[in-house]
Amino acid sequence: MLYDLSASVSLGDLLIELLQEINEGVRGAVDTCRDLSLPIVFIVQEMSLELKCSIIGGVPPKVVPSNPFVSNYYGVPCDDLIKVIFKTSPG
Amino acid sequence: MSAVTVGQELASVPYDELIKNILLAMVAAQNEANASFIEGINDLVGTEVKIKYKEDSTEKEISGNALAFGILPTLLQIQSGIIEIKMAITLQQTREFQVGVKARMGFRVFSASVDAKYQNTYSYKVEGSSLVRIQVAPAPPPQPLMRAIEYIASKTAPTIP
Repeated sequence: MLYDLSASVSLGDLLIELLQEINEGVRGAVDTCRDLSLPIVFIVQEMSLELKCSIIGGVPPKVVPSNPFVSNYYGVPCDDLIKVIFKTSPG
Repeated sequence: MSAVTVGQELASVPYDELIKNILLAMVAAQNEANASFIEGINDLVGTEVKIKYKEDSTEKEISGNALAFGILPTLLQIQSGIIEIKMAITLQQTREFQVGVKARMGFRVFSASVDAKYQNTYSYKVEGSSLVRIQVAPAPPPQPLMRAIEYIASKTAPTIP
């Protein structure tokens, strides 16, 4: 069962999760191409994410991503921005 | 909170699924173009080209298939692509012991594209949304296909008297 999470999560945990989700997405596309014997015609060079959120200072810093549930819950816009650029690394 | 809220059915998918589906859509589009290219090659192999000329008052002919003359169909390729999606990122807590759910940090990242329906349903402004930008480049040209074309061309070279 999945539950909506309006509470904050640590910035580090969020970045680790995002990185793993992206890698799984790219790997999933490659695996599907291989399974269907489709040529792999694209290489993901770079992926950037501009994450609108609220950052709560502290150790470690916590993050609440912007979405309707959070906006309605707290009643304030999430005006902070985390910009992350993911690039393909060799190997 | 409830597991699935109203409207979440719209487009909220795990983040990895979103990325996978975008990439597969581009692969499908390019594959259509590739299929058309291969069909064009087959047409050219079956197209007989005859060039007639006169030499010393004698009529002569050079013949061969169109591919052997170096005629290639046009291959349209997506040179590069940048996909930008405005989306709302949602975190959903997972129970660690649940089988089949990829939970590493105790939560998963879900994303929903912020389209008109989403904005109206939740009174959510697009300015507040996150942005993902995916930049892709074409993989190197299909070398086996190019080698096959060279092989056909060499084996069916035009007959020159």
